[in-house]
Amino acid sequence: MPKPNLPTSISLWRKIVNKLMTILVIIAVILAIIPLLLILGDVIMRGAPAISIGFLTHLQKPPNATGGGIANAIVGTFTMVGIASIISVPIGIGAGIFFSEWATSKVSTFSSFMNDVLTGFPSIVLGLFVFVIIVYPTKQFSAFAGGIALSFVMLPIIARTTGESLKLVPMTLREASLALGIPRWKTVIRIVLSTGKNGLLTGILLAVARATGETAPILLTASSSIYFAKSIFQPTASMTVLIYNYATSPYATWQTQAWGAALVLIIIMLGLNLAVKLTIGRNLSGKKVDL
Amino acid sequence: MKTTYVIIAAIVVIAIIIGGVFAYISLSSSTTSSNNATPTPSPSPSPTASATATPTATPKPTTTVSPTSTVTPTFTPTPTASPTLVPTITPATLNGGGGTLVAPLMSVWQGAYGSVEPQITVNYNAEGSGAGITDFKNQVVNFGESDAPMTTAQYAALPSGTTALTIPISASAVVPAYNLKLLNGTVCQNGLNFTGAVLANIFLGTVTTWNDASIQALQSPAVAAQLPNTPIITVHRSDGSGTMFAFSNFLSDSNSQFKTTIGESTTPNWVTTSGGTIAAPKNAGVAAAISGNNGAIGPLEIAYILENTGQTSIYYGTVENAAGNFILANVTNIAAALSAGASTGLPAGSASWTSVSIVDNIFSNTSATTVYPIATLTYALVYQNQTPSSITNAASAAALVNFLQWVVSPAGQSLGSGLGYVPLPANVVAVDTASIDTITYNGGAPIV
Amino acid sequence: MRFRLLRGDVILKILLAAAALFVIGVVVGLAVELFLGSAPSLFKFGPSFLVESKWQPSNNVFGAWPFIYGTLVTSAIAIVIGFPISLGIAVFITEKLKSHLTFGYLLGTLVDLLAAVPSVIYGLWGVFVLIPIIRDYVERPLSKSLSYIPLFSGHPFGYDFLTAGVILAIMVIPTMSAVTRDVLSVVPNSQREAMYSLGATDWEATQKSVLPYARSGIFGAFILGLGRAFGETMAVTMVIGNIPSVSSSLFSPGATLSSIIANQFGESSGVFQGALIELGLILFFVAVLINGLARLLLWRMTRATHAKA
Repeated sequence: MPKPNLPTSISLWRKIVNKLMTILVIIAVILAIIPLLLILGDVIMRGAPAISIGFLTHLQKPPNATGGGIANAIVGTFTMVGIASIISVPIGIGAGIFFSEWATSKVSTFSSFMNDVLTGFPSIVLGLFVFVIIVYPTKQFSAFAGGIALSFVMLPIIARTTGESLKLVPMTLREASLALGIPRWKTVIRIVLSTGKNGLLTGILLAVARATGETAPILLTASSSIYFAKSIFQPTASMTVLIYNYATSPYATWQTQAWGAALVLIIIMLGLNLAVKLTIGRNLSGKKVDL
Repeated sequence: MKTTYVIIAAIVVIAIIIGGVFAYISLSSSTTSSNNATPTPSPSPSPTASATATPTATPKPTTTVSPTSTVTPTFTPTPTASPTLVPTITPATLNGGGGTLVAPLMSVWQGAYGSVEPQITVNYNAEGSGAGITDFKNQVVNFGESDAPMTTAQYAALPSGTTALTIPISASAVVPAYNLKLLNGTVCQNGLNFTGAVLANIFLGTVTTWNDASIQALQSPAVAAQLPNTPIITVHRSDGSGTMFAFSNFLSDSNSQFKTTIGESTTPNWVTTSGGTIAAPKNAGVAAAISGNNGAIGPLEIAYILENTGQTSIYYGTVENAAGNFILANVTNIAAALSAGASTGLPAGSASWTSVSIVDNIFSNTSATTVYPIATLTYALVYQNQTPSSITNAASAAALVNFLQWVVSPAGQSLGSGLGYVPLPANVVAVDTASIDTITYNGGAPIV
Repeated sequence: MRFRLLRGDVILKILLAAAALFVIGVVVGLAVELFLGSAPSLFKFGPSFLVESKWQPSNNVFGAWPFIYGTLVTSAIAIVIGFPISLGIAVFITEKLKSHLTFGYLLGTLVDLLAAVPSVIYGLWGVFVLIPIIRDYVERPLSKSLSYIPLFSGHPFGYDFLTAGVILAIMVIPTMSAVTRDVLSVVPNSQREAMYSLGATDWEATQKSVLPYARSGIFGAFILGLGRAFGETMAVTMVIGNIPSVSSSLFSPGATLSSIIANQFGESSGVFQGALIELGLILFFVAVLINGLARLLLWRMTRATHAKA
């Protein structure tokens, strides 16, 4: 949309404010990019020496041994985040749709409120909760319990962002659809949901990124292991716990591996982000999504 | 349509889903707990540097005992010295959880033991000593692990009718680490002399600068003249730890004021000193805080000094023992401390270990001339009678006995020397073996 | 037209309501669990727990006030720093980069990368990199020259509220900016066009029509950021010092409800553990309170305006 030329009679003050705001906004971007570059640079510097094919495919080794890897931790993290996603994505999207489409219902308002409260819970408390309801009764640390704990972390994020994106879908779309005789459930699923698709994806990706980076709940529920887990009802290693333990150990080999694992984690998340946005994130008219 | 019907129907749907999940969990966990196939790790640890601590000091502080001996460990993959094991080892998984101090050694053990007994899988979760004790109490692990023995309250909280065995499996030591620029501009190297009384006063805040008379009195004249007027910054752990327990134990023995004000525990009530006090997370954080602040001093687990070759501004000092010798900690004098501390007698594994303290035992031992005063054991916790549960069966009980026997044997203990751990002396191993020999399964005869 | 009760509608509504009720159930379950777990401490100390400012586990003295204070202070710092920056980034990408879509996309992905960093890495980076930087370049100079101001008094060691607040700000920026970006990008162009036709500058168009239109979404971003700031454990616990203290100085070490639980839970048992869980319960109520207030504020702000077209 071409911007019209401003009339020359616009006051100087307004021009100054306009310029000032532009500068401030650019400063904001710079302030956000600086720590990002610092962190990424640090992770790459400390972690790059550890990266190799062997690193990704071998199992963990003691500090003074060569050839250690993080394969079981990668699989463990994927498993638990996968379990968490299977649980939290449908329920989160469902709750989010409910918040948006039936916003006037008392159940919806109360649930939305409780959802906000859930976002603020320390992840260690969520881990403790899962410990009490799953690990303690079954006397078994497991990847499954870890996945459940992570799903509690992901759920409120997905629900909230879904609700917000769907609220922004113009009412006219819904009205037009209903006026054509399309049942409400079809309207919601086929029309509202696909229009708000981008917001949903953002929410899911944010939640997955959050869950992949969590340590405390996994520590309490999935324990740890230096082998691949034989089933999801067994303890399993995970990347964040590995990073935490290795980086705070006094051994240089383990420290490098910790930062290497962090680098791998960030690369995986970046890849996931790009892949999802490029393939699914297209709006109805097929144009590239405006991010 | 009525909202109530919707809500009721929704609740029914949720209940069905949750019920189904729980049913699935309980059904799958009541079948045999894991039978693992051969795990694939191939351990080939090449032990690197030996545990030496040579005081390369300019100026040289006086140390009446100079730690010159070096211990170069050799890796023996076959447990040639392990006692007779139980007849048949069927596949089993052992889950353990506990302190972070022993975690690196545990990973060595997991690999090495896996090549000795491939059907047994050992998992270990470094969640902290307290969590390890809690998991042990809740019987969600086959063995717990802790850097401090259980307290009276923790013993009382165990399930009724059970007896806990406390089995020391490794040891470490706490050293006073510091970062100090001297008057001549150089950084003070290893070997500054300290006594328990002076350290206590430093952490109480009564000794506030590095050139305090009480600190100078302990050094050689050349060193004392170089001590600057820098305020002392005290550093300690912000999280609870067995390292803090041993350190505060020693300082409490040295100074009654310290005992009443700060006390001895895994989370002592540190005071904020006038020069400033930093609470940092974990040993790594303490090391980072010390090396980043000139004039800082704090307790550090010895592996963090011996292994951290990257640190350039952190060094450690000597501590005076009961015999009056200033000892710079190394594997030899720590092992001597353990041996001397255990010689006065350790309780049987099934008794209460609440008041067991190597630090206390050697504190007044004037005849132990070469011991390092702040040494600490780390303990495995197992139930004397292994009762059947979802994680315990005959196979796992036998595996547990087998594993513990291997761990306390020379084959297991020698693996730690390359990483800054101290092998258990013979008298401690004897106590351990006696305890392991009493483990039974389901009320039967001792497994060994 | 006759009004038919469609089966599809009913089924959908039940399923969605089930999801919403699940959320409520989880929170209620958590609250119950927290209540039960904190029983040893709850009944021992009673309401004085809230105002007690001493925390000595070995003497069985416990109080929640330093941690409530720490949570509020660090979250406030995080939001004060993070929210304007997030808003700025979002406005920049959606408004200024309209004609440079790929650049905007890259910038957005770059900021999103901050979300991909695990919280434990934030904590470690904080200990090894950020604390030395803040200590040497921010705190020591401020302490030398402005130490008479209570805000900058005390020893500048880096393990303090300021560092914790800054790390939290960095951690909430990606969430808030991603959601705000999404929300701003679906504002219809008609809004901006209307403003331009009235002679507004870029900023005025944004400020007066785009931002108010997306107000609810921005509020949602704010809530998500606030939630993250409240609940973040690993990163905060590594840089805040975890010395319970109530101090007006930014350079004073402190502790938040989440950080002290993470820090000392592994070593706790009995009444000590009960006290830690009670802190979790208090966090629950603080979250309810803050969220309730925020909702009230939003409701009053949007009460006068109509729903979106």
